[in-house]
Amino acid sequence: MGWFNNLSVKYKIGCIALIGILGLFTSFMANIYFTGKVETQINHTVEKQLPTLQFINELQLGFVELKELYQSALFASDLDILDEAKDKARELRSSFYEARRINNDADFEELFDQFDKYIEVTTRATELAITDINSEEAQRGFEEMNRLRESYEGLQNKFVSDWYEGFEGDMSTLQQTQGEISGVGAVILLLVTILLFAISVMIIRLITRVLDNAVNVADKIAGGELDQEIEVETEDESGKLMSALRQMRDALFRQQEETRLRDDLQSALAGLNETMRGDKDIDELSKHIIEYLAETTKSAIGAMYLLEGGALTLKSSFAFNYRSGNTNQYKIGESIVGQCALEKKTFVVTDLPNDYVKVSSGVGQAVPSSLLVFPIELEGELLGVVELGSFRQFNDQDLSFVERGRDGLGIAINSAGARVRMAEMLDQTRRQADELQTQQKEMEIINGELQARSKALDVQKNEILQKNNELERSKKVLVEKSQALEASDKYKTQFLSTMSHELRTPLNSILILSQALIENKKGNLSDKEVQHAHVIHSSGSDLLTLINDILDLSKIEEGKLDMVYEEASFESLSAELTKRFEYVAGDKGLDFKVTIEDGLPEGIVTDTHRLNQVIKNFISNAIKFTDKGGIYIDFHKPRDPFVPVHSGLTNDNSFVLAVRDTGVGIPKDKQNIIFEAFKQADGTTSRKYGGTGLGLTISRELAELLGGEISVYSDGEGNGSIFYLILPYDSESNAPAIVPGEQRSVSKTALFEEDSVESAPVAEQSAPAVSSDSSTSSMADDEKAKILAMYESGGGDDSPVDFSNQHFLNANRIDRILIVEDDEKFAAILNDLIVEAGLQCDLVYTGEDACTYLELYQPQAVILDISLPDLSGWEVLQRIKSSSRVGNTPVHIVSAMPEREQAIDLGAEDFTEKPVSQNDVQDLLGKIKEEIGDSFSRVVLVEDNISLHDAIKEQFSDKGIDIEVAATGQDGIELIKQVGFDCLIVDLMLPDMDGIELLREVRSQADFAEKPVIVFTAQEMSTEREFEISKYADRVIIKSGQGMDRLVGTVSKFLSDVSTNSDSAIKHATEVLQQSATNSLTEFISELGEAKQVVDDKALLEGQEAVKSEPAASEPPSEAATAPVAPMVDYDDYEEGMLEGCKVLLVDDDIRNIYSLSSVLEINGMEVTTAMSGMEALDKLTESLDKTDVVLMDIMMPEMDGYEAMRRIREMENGRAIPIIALTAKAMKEDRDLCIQAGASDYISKPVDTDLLNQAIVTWVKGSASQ
Amino acid sequence: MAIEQKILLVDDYEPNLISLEAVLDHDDWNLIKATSGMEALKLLLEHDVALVLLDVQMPEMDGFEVAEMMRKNPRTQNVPIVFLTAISKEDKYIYKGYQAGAVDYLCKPINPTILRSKVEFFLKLDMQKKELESKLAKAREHLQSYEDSKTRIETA
Repeated sequence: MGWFNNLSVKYKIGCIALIGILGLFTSFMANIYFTGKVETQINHTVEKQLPTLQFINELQLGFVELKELYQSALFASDLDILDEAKDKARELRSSFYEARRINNDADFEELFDQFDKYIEVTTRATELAITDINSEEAQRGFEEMNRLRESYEGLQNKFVSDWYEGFEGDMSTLQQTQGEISGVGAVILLLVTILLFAISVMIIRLITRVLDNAVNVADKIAGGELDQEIEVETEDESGKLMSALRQMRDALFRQQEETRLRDDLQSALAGLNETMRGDKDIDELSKHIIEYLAETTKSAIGAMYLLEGGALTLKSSFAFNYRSGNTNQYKIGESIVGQCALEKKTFVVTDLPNDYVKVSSGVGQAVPSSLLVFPIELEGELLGVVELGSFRQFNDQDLSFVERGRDGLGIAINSAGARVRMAEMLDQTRRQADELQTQQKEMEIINGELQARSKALDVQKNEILQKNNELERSKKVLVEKSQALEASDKYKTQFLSTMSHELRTPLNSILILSQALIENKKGNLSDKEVQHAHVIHSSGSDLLTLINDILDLSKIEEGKLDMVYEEASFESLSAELTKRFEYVAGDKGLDFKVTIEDGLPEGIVTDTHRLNQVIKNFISNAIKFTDKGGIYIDFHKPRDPFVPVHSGLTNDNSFVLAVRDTGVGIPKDKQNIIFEAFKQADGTTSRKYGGTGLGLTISRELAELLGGEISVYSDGEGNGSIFYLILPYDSESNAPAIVPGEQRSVSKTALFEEDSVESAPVAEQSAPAVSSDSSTSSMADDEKAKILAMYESGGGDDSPVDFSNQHFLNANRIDRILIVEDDEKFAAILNDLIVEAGLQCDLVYTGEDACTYLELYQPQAVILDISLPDLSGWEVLQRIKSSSRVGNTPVHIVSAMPEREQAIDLGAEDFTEKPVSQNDVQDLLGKIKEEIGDSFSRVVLVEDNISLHDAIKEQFSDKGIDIEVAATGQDGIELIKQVGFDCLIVDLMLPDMDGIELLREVRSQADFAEKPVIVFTAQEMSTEREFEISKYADRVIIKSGQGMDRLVGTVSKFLSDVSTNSDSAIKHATEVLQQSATNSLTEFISELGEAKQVVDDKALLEGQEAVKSEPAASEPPSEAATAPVAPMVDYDDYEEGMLEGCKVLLVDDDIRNIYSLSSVLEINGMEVTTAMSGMEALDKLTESLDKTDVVLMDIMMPEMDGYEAMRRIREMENGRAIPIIALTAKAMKEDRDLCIQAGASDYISKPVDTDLLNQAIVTWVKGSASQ
Repeated sequence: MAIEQKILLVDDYEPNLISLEAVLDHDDWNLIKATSGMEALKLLLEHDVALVLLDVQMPEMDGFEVAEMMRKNPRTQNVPIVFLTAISKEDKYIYKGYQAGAVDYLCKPINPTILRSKVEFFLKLDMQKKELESKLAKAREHLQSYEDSKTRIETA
């Protein structure tokens, strides 16, 4: 049955079906078999028995009929009935035949044969009977026929009974077979059914058992029992099912195992992450990591290296004990750790040697068997390496843990690093925040302070505003004063011009009389007296020259110099100069030469006297400033470098007179000032050359009067200088077109400006322009008349000059404006408007003229057009602004060119664009007026006589002075308090109080303590009262006929004085400026000095080299030096008195040094002889060599230096022994050597340490004495 | 006892020297003239001067500097200096003169009477000083001889 069990279920079920089908088939076959059998029998019956039976029936019937027919035929003996019997016989025969063919039975044949013999015999018997009925043959045929019919009938009956008997047997056999067939079929069916049932039950049992088993197993698997046995008993589907179940179980088991491993890995990783979580610093983190890693991978030992500064540094370890050979640091690529870092690959090393790092515990130690090294990286960047050692082999689980944990490690370490950095940054940020907070607090404090300060500032601002106002006021006052100052300058000029005349007069007699005394005609004067007379005369002459200069200048400047033009020739000029100066120059040992260039015209038209004055001035200057060389005078045509700049002078119409000297020259920076009055290049108290400095100023003025100009050229100090006078051939026609009066007067004020620099530097800012209105000339005429009058009166007029004249007062209020405008119409309009505005102006049409004007004058303001025919307005503006003299002058640009910004940049006050409206011009003038400071002086009059008020007011207003009036003392005080005053006029007789009381009151206020006060009274006063008044008042004017005029004059004078006093602030400022300038100059000079020292040193060195290069020359002194010189010995101590009476020769070219040194030496009791040059020293020594104990020799001396002097001394007889101590500012060793070579015994550097000097002298004096 | 007293006159303008000479013509007064500061200093080294009349405005070395130099030298630091100047009456210069060591400051033109009386006064002072010095020296001498005799007696 085993094979059956192994059959698949379908076969089993097929089996059942097959068995069923087989059973059915068997029964069917049996059925067919039995049925076939029955059918054969039936067929046999049907085919043979039935027709035979049928034939038997027919034969029996036919035979009966045939027997009748034959009987009838015999009876009737009709032959036709016989024929019918014969047909019937044939018919029966064929039936016989038929029956015989079906049933070829022998019985049948016998019957057939009897039948045939019967017919044949009957046929023939009947035929014969009919033919012969009672023949013996028909009766024999009838006897045979009855015998044959009896035989046949007997035979036919037997046949028929046989056949029926056979048929009945067959039928009963068939019935019996049919019964047998039914029984067999039932048995077969039963058997098949039973078999099928049994097989089915068996198969069902087989299948359900296996399935139950499978279900059971599946249930168990589902229940988790994966480890049970699953037996496969069969190989059919159920077996397959079981094996499938087993496979399923195995798969499940494997999967579960994998899941477990994965879970383990995950939890290990999670643990790792857990370990790495939290704010840990790198150390802590790495410690935790390595511990966890070692634990998780069951490692016995572990170490973690982190990349720090390109090297792997041991950061943490697990059960790691250090021993020699494993360092805490690896480079990349060094050892497995380094290699791992280099390759960024995990290494597993097994089969470690026995002497590998041991894991030790308290009880023993062992070598790990396997080593796992893996890198920690983040995004491909190496962070560190971990090394783990274990006693077991690292499995895949470990490796995959490591592989997967590595990334996390990288991130953790990186983030730890980042955290550390973050923490640092956070810390820093926190600190900064703290600092910021602190700073903020400080800021708040500062803010508070600032607020406080800003409040204070506000207060200060207010104060400043107040002060500003005050300043504004005082500025106005200042402007006023400066205007007054102009008047005072004017006054000085006037004064000088007057005084010059006054001075000449007494001088006249002095000169004449002293001249007479010098002549000593009577011979009664001693030589000394004659000498004195000489002095008187020469001093007088000098004074006269000076006075003449001043007079000339003032005359020129006032334009009162009359020019007398006449023809002159160069020849005559030259001859006169030669005659006059040849000897003077010769006396000083100077060459003197005059040359005239060919091609100059024969003669010129000029004022010979003035020309000579200029030339004389040039030449005397040249002689004065020249010590050696010569003076060379050259008349020539203008050459290119000296193109005249003065308008009207061209190369063709002018000639040049050049006076060249070889004297001291003029420094570049001084070349401009020498033409200014009272200026010399050297203006200090220690200047070498005397003189007022007026000469060149006069020369310049004269040259201009002659239509020419002068200029100077000098290469600087020590290089001589050349003065040029450039004149037109015809001075008369080229005389300056400008009205001389105007120009000269301005220049003159400029002159005093310069003069007043020392005392009142503000003068430079004061504008000295003088009105050019018609009154000037008339005033000038008045002056002239006055001076003439004085001359006529012999200069003895004691009356003071009346300063109250209108001229000065007008000068007080000059507001002159320069208009530079080429559009004549517009200029005229401007002019009119300015005049209308109460200002005065001058018009020029070209830039060049403007510049010339500005050189001469100092306008209050300039209105400047940009587009001018020659120079551009920009250039004019630049010139103005770069000038120190007129640089402060406000310049207003009026132009069609819209270049406001450039104008302002260049320093213009403002910019008005053309076309201009009248309002524009008014605005402009308003500004100008503001700038000029159209202020007035406040004069207060306190006078009880009201009728006088108007008269006085009128008087003052004529002079442009406004006056405030009070009738009583109290009112006066009130008024003064209200408006203040610049000058106070007080009547002593007041209704409410004494004038003195009022004065006292006023003077007690600090503001007015210094202000000028004039007492204007009709009172006659006692001396005491006058004294009393003089305490408070500056001047007392008696009301009388002249009183009013005097009052006005005095007031205006005082007003101008006020300005002078108020200028002290500016003066102070100027002094400060000068001081700073001086300081910087001093610094510069000292730098220069240093530079010079360097140059000197260099020169000296070169000199030394020169000396060295001539060994022959230096030989004698070096020989000489060997005798007394024991260089640089230790000095003996010096004690006081040791040098008593020691004779010292002190040689120095500088008296200062001699003086200070000798004082030191004399204090110590030495006798000092001095010499100021090498030669003098030699002379002194020659005289008294034996009386000299020691020579102190300066090295740097002119003519013969110390080296040379020492050599000479050493060459002298007995000169070798004397000690010479060289003194020099040069401290280099070479200098010292040079001194020693030159014969010095010793060397002391300057500045001289006196103790050292004393010691040196003691040493050397004693030394030479002991020799 | 008429000791010749030396007066140093310093002025770069020779006529002034002659004028001064004329004013200060006195038998007992020896007038030494210098036309520059340098020369003056040089003469001061050579001569024992009782009084210096010093011009301020001189080339190269002005009067102030000469005075300063003199004040630095113990030999001359007590020599009275009278500045004679035409430069200015301004206080500034006068102060500078006094700072430089002037005992007096006269402005040109000079009133001969004032000059003469001042000179006489300073010379008298100088004379007295010298007398005092010589007396002092004599006293010292006496003291010394006294001391000497004393020691001699003591030793004897």
